[in-house]
Amino acid sequence: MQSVRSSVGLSLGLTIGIIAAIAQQPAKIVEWRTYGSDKAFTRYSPLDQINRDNVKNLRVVWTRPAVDPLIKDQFPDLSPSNYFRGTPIMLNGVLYAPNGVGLMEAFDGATGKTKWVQQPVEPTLKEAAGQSTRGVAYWQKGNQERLVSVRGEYMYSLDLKTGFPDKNFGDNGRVFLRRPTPDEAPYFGWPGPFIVNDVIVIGGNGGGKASGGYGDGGMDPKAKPEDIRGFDIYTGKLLWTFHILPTPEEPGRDTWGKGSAEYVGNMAAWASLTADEQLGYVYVPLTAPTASHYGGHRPGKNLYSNSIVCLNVKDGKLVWYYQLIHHDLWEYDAATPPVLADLNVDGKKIKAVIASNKTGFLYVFDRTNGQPVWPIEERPVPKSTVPGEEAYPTQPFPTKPPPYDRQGFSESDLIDFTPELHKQALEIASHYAMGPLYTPPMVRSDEPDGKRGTLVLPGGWGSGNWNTSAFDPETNMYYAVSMTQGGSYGIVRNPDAENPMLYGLLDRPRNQQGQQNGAQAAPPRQVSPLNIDGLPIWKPPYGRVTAYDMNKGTIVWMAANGDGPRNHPLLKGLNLPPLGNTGRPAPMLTKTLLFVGDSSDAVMGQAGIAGPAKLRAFDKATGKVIAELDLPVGTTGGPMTYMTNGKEYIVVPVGGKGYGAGWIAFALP
Amino acid sequence: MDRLRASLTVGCCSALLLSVAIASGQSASSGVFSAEQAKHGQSIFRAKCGACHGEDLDGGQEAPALKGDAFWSEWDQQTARALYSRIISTMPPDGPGTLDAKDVIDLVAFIAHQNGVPQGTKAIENANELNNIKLQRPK
Repeated sequence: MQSVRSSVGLSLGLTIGIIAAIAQQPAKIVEWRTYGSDKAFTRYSPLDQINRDNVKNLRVVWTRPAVDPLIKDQFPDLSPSNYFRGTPIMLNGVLYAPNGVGLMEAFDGATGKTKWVQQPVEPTLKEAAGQSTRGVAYWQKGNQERLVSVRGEYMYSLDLKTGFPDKNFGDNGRVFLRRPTPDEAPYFGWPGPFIVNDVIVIGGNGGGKASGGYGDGGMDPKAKPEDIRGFDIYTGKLLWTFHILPTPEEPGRDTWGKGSAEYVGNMAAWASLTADEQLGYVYVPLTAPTASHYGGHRPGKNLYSNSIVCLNVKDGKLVWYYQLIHHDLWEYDAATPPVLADLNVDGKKIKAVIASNKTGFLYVFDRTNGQPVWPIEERPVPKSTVPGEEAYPTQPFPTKPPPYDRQGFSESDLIDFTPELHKQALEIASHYAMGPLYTPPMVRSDEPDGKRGTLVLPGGWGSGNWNTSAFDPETNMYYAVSMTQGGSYGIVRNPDAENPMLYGLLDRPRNQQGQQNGAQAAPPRQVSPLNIDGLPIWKPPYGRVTAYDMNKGTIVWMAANGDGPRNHPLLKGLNLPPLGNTGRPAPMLTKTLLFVGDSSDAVMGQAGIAGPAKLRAFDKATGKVIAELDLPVGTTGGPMTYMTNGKEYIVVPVGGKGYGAGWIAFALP
Repeated sequence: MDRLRASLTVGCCSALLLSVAIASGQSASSGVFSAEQAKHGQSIFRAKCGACHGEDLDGGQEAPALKGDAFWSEWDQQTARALYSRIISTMPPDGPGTLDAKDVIDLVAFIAHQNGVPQGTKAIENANELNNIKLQRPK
């Protein structure tokens, strides 16, 4: 999976005026070819120069701002967001990544110095404005090489050496990604493109903006399905479209009752896709349908929402699918890359794919045919009490492996650090209904003694997300990074009598979360905060790493990631262990180590770390923290590692208040 | 640069008591943005920003709060131009570059007002005027 090159000589690169010549690469090189390391999205490198014995000696060797100063000088108003997503790839000693406004940059892996910067198509602030994406895709065939990126509503094909657009691709090097819907729903997305053989596969969003927002909450059921598309790597021509909401001619349309298929949408692939290029299959994780907390207007399973779908990359035809959540009422998106793993289960070799979603389950399939590796049982779940709602009577429960985070809400989940805190947590919880996983939302009561909603664990922010997964192909260990974040769903009658969506959330669940890490709780608009002076009412760890033996489907260890609120004034004198920080930090694996940083509060607004943070190195075999490296602010994207000139580096994107955003590179002295 | 300091109360919550110091060439009594400007900024905010940041600026799942401590921890000691630059070059996330300069100035006026900056009578017409307006966290 990793490409290892020795004594690779590079020709001198051309320039676009910003450039330096590409130096020769005399020593051993170990690359990082996709932003998830490889097309299985393992986030793994076999490097071991940095290891458990010396990781504590790592030093910052270079830093680089989120936008190259030359571009910043050209457009003084360019001020990138602190949510800086771009994890670089590394090829032949050169890093390539989307910068803070989504323009591609190439820079030297040893020094961080600029080689080239993609220019906006017009020299205007309007064209320079943008957001970072999670990464770029690389393609090679023979002596042909391309970089493909997505920026705003366009997909670009760039020359690797210069950053110039490939004029044979699309319209002078770019393809307009707006979907051909009647109202031309705009496209946008963070995951970037994914290349499988000679096909660029595009997930991402775009179904919602034209119809009132791209979120999953609210009371507007109208949106556009965010279809998956394949494009030709040479020309940018659209090759195929997979309809994530089946057309009237396709099977599955009847899973949308009451004619809802005519107007619902969303369900995009938010996370990176993965692929088995030998099989020619691409694996797509899909998310919740429009306004996911009420589904009375869309009775049925609602295919292919919340599913993992396997497509043949040649023609986009469905090979197999598995719906992880039927008729989603909780916004439990499959937002995690479906990691490919070659397992050995009970002596049988299985080409597997490991999917996950916000529930904290791992769903493991034979990736050739979609058969579960361990049985996944359809079990009865609670009925809905909301008028008009027909919650699906069963949901899929994997029998193995166990979930990596808390599921369902009961009194046993409430904090009991002290009797007084437990009493206060009970009092807050008494205003809500509690139940097992998949207990539906309820109608909020405004009566003094009425229930304000259903307590849910995980909440809509999930436990798992785009950041969750890493897989070690040498040991077949899977590492799940998750956040324990509850929420509540109390829905209300839609004031619009003509709206087919009879009920919905007035606000997104964002304001119903507990707060920790010392952050001040924002008072929710609809319900009481689920915290006591910022301390969540549910038990820790609030941020954790869970390690699995995927040959056995068992948990090997679980560790908190960071201190969390252990020094909260209400916990004074209790001498508690680390309680874990919230947020969405992404993991990275090497031969002996697992790196997981603190997540910046720039990633999620109301979770994560504000100010100085850590990049933590765990012993991947035991979960013991071996070193904590200082960061000026928290991480905002996944770390990556590579070797150039015989030296191993670790690079991570960071961003936050008081620092800004940029990449930080570590290496041994 | 003249400094003006205004202490004011925002809302009924004591946690949101703010005093704002503004360095500006404009008079203390008149404030630095027109009321009409802030009102127009509010309508732009509702249409373009509220879905993520919350219509009352208290933040969302994927977006930070834009008032109170959350605002000042990022923008204290920054110029209003810096806030303008951030908005015009990155927002909204699904359409950076789609807001025009006038609307962004009005958005800055609205957000500043929500954080205690007093309204005046004179509208800011040009982004360069924001260079001399410094936002300062209350003491």
